[in-house]
Amino acid sequence: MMSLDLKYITIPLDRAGFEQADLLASEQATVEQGKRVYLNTLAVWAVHTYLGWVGIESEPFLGDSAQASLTTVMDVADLEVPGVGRLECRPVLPEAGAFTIPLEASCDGATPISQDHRIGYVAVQFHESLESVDLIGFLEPFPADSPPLEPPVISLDDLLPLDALINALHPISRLSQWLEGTFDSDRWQPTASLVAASTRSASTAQATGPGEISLPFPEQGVSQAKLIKLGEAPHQTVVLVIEVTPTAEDAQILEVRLRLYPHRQANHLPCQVQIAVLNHGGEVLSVATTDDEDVFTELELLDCRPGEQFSVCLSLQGSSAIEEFMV
Amino acid sequence: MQDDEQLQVLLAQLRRKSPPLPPLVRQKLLSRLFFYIQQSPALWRDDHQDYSMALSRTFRWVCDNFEEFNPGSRTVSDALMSWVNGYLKWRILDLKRSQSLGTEDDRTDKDLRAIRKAGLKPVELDKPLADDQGNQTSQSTTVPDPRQGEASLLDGWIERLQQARRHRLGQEVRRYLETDPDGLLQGCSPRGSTDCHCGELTRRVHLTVPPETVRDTAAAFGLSEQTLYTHWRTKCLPLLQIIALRHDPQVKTYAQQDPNQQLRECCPEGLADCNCANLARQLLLSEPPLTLKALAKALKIKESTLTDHWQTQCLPLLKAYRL
Repeated sequence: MMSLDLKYITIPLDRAGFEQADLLASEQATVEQGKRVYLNTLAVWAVHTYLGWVGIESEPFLGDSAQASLTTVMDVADLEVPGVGRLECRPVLPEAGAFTIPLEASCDGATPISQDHRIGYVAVQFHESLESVDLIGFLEPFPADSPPLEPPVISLDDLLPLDALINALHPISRLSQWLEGTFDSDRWQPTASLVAASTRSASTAQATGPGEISLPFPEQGVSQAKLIKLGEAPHQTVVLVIEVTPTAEDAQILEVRLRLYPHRQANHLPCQVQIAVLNHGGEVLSVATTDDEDVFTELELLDCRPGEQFSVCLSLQGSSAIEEFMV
Repeated sequence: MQDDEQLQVLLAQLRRKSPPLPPLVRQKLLSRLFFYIQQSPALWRDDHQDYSMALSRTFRWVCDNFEEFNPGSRTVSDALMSWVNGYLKWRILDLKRSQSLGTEDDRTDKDLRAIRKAGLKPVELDKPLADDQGNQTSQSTTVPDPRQGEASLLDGWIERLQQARRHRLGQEVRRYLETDPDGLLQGCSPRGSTDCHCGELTRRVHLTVPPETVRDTAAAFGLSEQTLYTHWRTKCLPLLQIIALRHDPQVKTYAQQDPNQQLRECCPEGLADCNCANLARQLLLSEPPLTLKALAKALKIKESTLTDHWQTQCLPLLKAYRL
């Protein structure tokens, strides 16, 4: 079922959205501005409704789009997702093949007004009937180093599927960016800072056996590590190491090796830690469970292609942690 | 998507306990489930005006309680639709009995309360409207409600909503921008380009329909597009926001009262005078109005530091007045 793209989802508009739209539109100077604000408000409300369906909190009253006074000077349809950022929910008129993003809603991250930054744009298709709208796609933010100087016109053909909206609301490590030297340093650290060298070399010997050569840190690839707490006891903290190597045939196709190490103080991994790799639809691709005295455990993913997503789930006695990756 | 086997796979994924389903994957699977339910001819439909609220409430319940779904011996699709319809029908019954979905923790009720807390009096559609000459007309007979039908009715609807307000924020702000009585807009221009002040840019970019392009405006002033854009973005837009907020009685009252003391406690490290309560007082309440530039000078800090603090810390606090 996940193999099918979700092309759109229909959101019935409700009384709360209409009341808010009425209130804000009634404050505008002209009918044209009122209509703009009305549709912006319903677009925000539709995305708020959708996020509520899938269990994501959003706060429709914290955006500029909910402030009667600010809507008189700004064409914005922003929706705050607490702890994540602001989505811009742009109305698409019935039968239109494109929509425009106003400059005030297309902020780059480089200007001092960083609070205006959008984490992405949701296209909200209106129809002749205002009973419902369709969420039809998502657009990623504009690069900070080349912000649009004119309001960008976005063709509906250029939109990403709706799944990209869900992706934007979760921290996803992008492995191809690691190869370009871009790391999310808030979340990932150099492997050497978390895993003792002695542990690494022990694991290499154990993994390859006598006479074989294996480098835990690939020559052409990169390796990053993260501490994962699977319980309160010190030995229940482990280190997840991700090694990424481009294949010799095609640099865009990657090999990904996942290793689990004990944290510095411990000599062994805790017993019964399960590490599972799931594909984008949640199906289990690969799984391993630690035994007594394991110094490390490892899973490999071959032939990872651009755009593919996978999740790594670590669990131990009811505690679990999940990391999301995109090739 | 209608295939029972595919639905079964989807439901099995959603119900799986180990390894745990990542939230991101669960949300994508739920989206597909809701799409399936929406498309199903078996979904219960009702012509109650708040049917969409009941449906949203039902979807949120499905999201929270999916683990309880048990198809039993029936086909998965029959069992699913029966389970969903069971809850949905009760919510519609709630609506018909009490005109409300009831419980205090319901999100839609919370949203409606927050809207009404805005203090902007809702337009009451069943009450006659009086125009400036005192002539009364009934809205419900003259303006069909667009939410019941076509978007093309929207212009007439909005016109009537606006007529029902004697004082509109938008009109007051527009009048201010057109006349710039305190010279705030005219006094803000890029160095060496006094003609390219925020008043002129506001006229060209904000008050003209369709707005002039950045390229044309930059050419008219002999500036680079980047210079013009940066000036608009970093100077004019914050100024327009301040002007708009100065016309908003609720924000001004909140700034004055600072009921949770959040405004006065929020300041950049070592700059106590630069707290949000003080900035809001100076920028939104003072007469004649102070500009960010003048305020930065008075507080002896860089204008960019002040603007950044105002935009990123103070404005979000002020905007939360309705929560």
